[in-house]
Amino acid sequence: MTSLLRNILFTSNICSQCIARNIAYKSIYHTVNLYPESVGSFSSYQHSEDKSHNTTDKFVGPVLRGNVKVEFSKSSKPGGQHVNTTLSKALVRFNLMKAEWIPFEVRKIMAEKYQNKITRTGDLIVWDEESRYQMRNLQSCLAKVEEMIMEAQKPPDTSKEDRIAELYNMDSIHAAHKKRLQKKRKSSFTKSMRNTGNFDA
Amino acid sequence: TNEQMSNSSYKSLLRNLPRVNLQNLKANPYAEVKHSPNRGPHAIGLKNGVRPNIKPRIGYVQDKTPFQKRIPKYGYNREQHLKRQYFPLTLWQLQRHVDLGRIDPTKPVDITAISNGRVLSMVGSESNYYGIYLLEQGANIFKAKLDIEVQIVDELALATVEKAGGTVSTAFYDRRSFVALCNPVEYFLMGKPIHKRLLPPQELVTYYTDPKVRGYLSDPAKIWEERMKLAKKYGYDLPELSEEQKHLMVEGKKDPRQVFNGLMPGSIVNLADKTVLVPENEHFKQHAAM
Repeated sequence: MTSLLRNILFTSNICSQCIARNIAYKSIYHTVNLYPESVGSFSSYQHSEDKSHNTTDKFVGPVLRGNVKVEFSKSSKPGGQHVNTTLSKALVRFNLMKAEWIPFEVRKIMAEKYQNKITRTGDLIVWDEESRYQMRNLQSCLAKVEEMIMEAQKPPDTSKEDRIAELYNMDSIHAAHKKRLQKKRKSSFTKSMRNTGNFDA
Repeated sequence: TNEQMSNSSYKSLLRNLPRVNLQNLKANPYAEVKHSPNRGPHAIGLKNGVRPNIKPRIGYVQDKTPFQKRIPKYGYNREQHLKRQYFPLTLWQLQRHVDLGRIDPTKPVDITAISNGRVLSMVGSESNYYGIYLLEQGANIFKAKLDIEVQIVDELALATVEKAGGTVSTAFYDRRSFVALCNPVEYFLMGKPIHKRLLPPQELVTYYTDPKVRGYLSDPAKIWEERMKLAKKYGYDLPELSEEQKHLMVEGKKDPRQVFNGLMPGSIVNLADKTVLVPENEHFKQHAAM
């Protein structure tokens, strides 16, 4: 048995890396064979730009954009040397009324609902210091802000009104009567079967 | 007199004699050793007036449930022979060894790099270990730019490595190829042709085809999307990857049937002559390609 790679290296002037890439061993489970369409997708990938200025549409998407600012500081909990030296507290703040990436009506609802979290100058503040890691605290802050926006965006709760409207619905009233009369007929049938009828007449 | 020693000689004796330890002590041969009596109420293992072949079985307590049956069973140790374990590797350990120069950040970091750099000693462990688990401890300190291949990854660890400009991928190694990678010289000295790496078992296929964990059997286009989503979730800017790193994710990737990067299964490595013997016959190539 001869060694192919060694012969090829000595006879040609190609560098070893190029050879390795072209003659590389590939089984049927290699990504090139499993997903042949996504091979050349990285070089021609264009970043899909987020819809930043949609004042009329619903808010969907990431929170970190526009006038949102992030601050890191030391947290105020017990923990010894680690707590005293690392900046693990994450703080997210932005001016509510100047945030163009939230629809205008949602901003009004939020200003009423989250009065306690808004400063005198109009900044909405959210902070978290529960975890040891800066990134995890940041992630929970951003998740909280997203939750606040989604709750303010929800359509009003109509379950109570729907329940009351159902009582006056004629279809449901007829159906209830039907059910009651069916049950009555069934029980009367069983009772009538108990009396032995006259077979002569 | 000659029989009595002077005070100074007693003291010099004390100074020169060795200390008392277990090697100097001996049991007293004249001591009384207590045994249980052969008869009487304090006798152990005796039933009066009964032959030994008539005595009841071990653990029998007359007309009561015995001790070994009173306690209920619970499967604390069930299926131990089927469980998998992984070596924990924290981010601060990685950072420390990069600073010390034991791990080269310009080359991809693999199981062999970690065992050669003496980060973890994965030799002589039980037959239960299947790889490395990358943990999130040390996320505040991590700054190195690495291309790592491990077996299991935490979400925060993924985010920190990608934020610093590196890449992560998860791959499955069966027990035999894991041992070969920990010490490749010992494996090559055996002189056998390189074996094929096995595919993951049924329980792990969904894990390694998941782009969220950067599995080695998953779609690279979806991995690209998941990188963006992670960056938005944790609030950092995605750095751009170099061309070599992009190549590693698609074409230059290690094959799922390959144990050593650049070596085909079926080939033999000759360390003495520093050559690699590759089979020419089509039969071997077909076997390796499956």
